[in-house]
Amino acid sequence: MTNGIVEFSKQLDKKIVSPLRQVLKGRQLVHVTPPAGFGVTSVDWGKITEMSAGYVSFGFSDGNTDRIDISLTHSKVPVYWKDYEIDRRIYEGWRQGGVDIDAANAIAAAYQAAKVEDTALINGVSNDGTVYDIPGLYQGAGNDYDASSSIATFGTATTALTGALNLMDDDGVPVDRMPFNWVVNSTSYHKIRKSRDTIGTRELPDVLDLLNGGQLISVGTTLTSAQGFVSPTAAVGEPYVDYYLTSDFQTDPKQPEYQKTGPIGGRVFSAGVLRIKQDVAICKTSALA
Amino acid sequence: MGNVKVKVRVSHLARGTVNGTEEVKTVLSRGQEFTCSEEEAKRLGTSVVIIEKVNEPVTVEPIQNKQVKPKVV
Repeated sequence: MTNGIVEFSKQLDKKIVSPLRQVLKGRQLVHVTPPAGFGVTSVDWGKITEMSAGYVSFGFSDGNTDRIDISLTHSKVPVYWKDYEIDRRIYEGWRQGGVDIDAANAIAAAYQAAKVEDTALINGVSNDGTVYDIPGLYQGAGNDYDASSSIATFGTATTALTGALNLMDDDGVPVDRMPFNWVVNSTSYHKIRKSRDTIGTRELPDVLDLLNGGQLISVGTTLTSAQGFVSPTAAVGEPYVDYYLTSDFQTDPKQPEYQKTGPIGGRVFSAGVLRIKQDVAICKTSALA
Repeated sequence: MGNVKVKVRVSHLARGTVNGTEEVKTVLSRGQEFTCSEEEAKRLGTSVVIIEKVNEPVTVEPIQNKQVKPKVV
């Protein structure tokens, strides 16, 4: 009985992982570390706050070591989860063989857990909605370009994006050598996509050109319509920010209350924490209208 | 809503307006202070920290004497 439920759970895992990979936006934005293990409940990492200038000379001398100012950051690793139930007859059908698992409930639960994880990565983890216990990419950004303008007006998107890249450039981030993603709310995303000047020239190609190989990404309503941010793509962003994953999405079966007829329950969960090592490599584009 | 004095928390904060390609921006660095509306401070969120509320000077509007038009008989 127990082995049957565990096997059933493994089958669900196979069904869940593939659809989740397509919907998860947060994990596409940052480098994801291999799972460290669910038992890891907290993590320490070095946050680079300031780096002194390099040396130039005709020979080497002492004094150019230990120059990186690192503040040790400690964070608890949150768990993202959602419970689900599957009808017992579907389970019995699967057990007797020949019946495909209807994983709709488990997948729906997995989507809910994935949404919570996305919010944590993109915006942050907050209990009261104002103070962020663990800042996400938007709340943890080290630069802010407050656009205060209508993104629908032709030229505003490129001006705001250039301004954001300029702020990061001033902080020593090699913006001309790295691809960046511009992550915005769905409303701004579609406004930028349809922006044209009076003779019909589209603004989007210019935006993509400025992103240096990165993408304009919509995160739906995970950010508000006024919010957005520019960050290095996952391929090059590891020195600046990463997602320290302790447990990838998986299911955990629950013993049914009634042995023969009770529904099979379970839990979908993942665990991990966003580590922003150099916040100046992320720039908000706020007050987009 | 009144005004508040805030301090910049991020490395750089560019505030002002953009209208198409026209850009009127002031770039402030970490630690710099400025006064803005409470609404803007709320919008800037974690980019600034509110230091204090700025008390607006109390303005008393002068009482306007009503002009009484002479009645035409």
